[in-house]
Amino acid sequence: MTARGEVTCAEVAAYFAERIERHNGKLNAFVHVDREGALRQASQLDAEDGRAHGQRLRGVPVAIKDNINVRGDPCTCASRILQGYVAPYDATSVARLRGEGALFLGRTNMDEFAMGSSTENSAYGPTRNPWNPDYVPGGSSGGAAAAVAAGLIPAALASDTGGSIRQPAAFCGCVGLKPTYGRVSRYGLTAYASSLDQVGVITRSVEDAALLLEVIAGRDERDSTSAAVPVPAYSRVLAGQGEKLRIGLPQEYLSEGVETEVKEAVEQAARVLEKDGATVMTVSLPHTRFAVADYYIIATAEASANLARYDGMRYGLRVEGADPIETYRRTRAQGFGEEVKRRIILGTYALSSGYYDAYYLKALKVRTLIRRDFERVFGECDVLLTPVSPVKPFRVGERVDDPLRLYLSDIFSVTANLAGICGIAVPFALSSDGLPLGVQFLGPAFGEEVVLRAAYRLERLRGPFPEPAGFE
Amino acid sequence: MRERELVRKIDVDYVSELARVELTADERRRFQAQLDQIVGYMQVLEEAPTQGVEPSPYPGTMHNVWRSDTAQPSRMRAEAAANAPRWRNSLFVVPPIMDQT
Repeated sequence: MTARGEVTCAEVAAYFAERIERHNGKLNAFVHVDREGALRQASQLDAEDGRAHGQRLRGVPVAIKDNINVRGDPCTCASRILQGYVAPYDATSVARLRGEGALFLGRTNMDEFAMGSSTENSAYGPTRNPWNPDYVPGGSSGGAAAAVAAGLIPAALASDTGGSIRQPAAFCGCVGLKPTYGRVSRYGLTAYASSLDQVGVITRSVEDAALLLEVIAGRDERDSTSAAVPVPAYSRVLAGQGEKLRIGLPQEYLSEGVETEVKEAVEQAARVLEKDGATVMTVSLPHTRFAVADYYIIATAEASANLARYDGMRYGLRVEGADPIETYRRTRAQGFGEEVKRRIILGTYALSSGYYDAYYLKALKVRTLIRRDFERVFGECDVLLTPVSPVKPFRVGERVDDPLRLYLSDIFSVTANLAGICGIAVPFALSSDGLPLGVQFLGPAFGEEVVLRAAYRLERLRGPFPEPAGFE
Repeated sequence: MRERELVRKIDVDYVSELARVELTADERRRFQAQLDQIVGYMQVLEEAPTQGVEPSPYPGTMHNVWRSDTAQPSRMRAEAAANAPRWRNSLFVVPPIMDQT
């Protein structure tokens, strides 16, 4: 619409700024809103007539998760330890969105340092699920998913280390895309677990996810893990006909421990796709049962190293002690929340003298087994169809005292990060308590085209998805 | 300790010291119970058949990447320093780490 000149970018920015102002109090999805900055950006776009430049996102507001740097905006990772931190530069993904005319209206709530699956571990307090405020929006990108689901923003940029895009997208009824490791530059994403972190998007439709990926994907000299693999025009290959999808249902992802309604949604989606002409087959990923233990060793080990930089010297908070060591200990005691401390301690333990081989090295070997499982099944089928999480959205406060129970519910999302493959969550049904149920497609490394196509197909077959009430 | 056998107990006092995180008495008690449970769960990895399996520190194959070693101007130095609790002349101000006497 902005490209056709029907509305101005400033009108779009003002519209969404007003929606955020009206509804954010109920959700706590945004932790920082920059209405003036976005309006300034929009007026500039209107003045320079970007139509001539053919910008692909001209005037489209995109929210940014609070662990991705936007020059001049706060970037706190929802942590006390980064209070007052102002990003001195744009993340590469942000710079690419900016180059296509996107507007940055604000920063979204998250579990502190992206550690969590419910957005309850935030220094700003929990985000609520727009479908029912008594329920969590998922996490760690719960603010992003809640904001998109409630129509406070058309799309959000987020990160996924073990499901942090896909699980909240599923809990809130959005599309959540975690690209392949190396597909999108992480320069400017605050590191949590560097061999698992990936930048991706949360949107209202598969088409929007494809378009945003097209913009942010590709090699970046500033992130040596970003791959020099050509970027297809994802948004133009969605409807690709002639290809009959071969869809694998991993039996380990539909076994005991999966809630009935979650399982039924996946089975229903499989039936719908099969009726449409896809071939559906049962496959096996036998090492899935090791995934949660494997992930929580590798992720926490890497986190314990990455978060060592928060020592009270270079960022935000400093709590003085009698000597530098005491200053570190006190700063970190006051600056980090409980889940972050727990993970740092666990990771330090896994890397400590005498335990390294038993935990970390062992976990890296198990990771190879998990990778091989996927390599083998992607010889038999094009995509996998699975639950995103074995559980439906749960109540705020229900799982905060039982970290292991919360970790166990990450089983179907952490595998994609361990193997470095791509995955997408698509809303498919509503549960008996009226909350969204998503399904997940997993594809091989750099197989974004095929997962997007499968997700697009299912989205078409499903028809329009309902919207949460109360955000008119 | 046999090398391949996981150890079921975590000494939270010692490890939090290594991690430079001061814990309250309440946190210590809670973390001890929770982390014992988590570490106990991780014993499941003992059952994974990893003999002769190469470790994967990264997903996929990573190659070293080179770029030309040319100096480029950075506008960020002053802004980065200004994020520190104490700074002067675009430098971090930190406590002394060696005894001056």
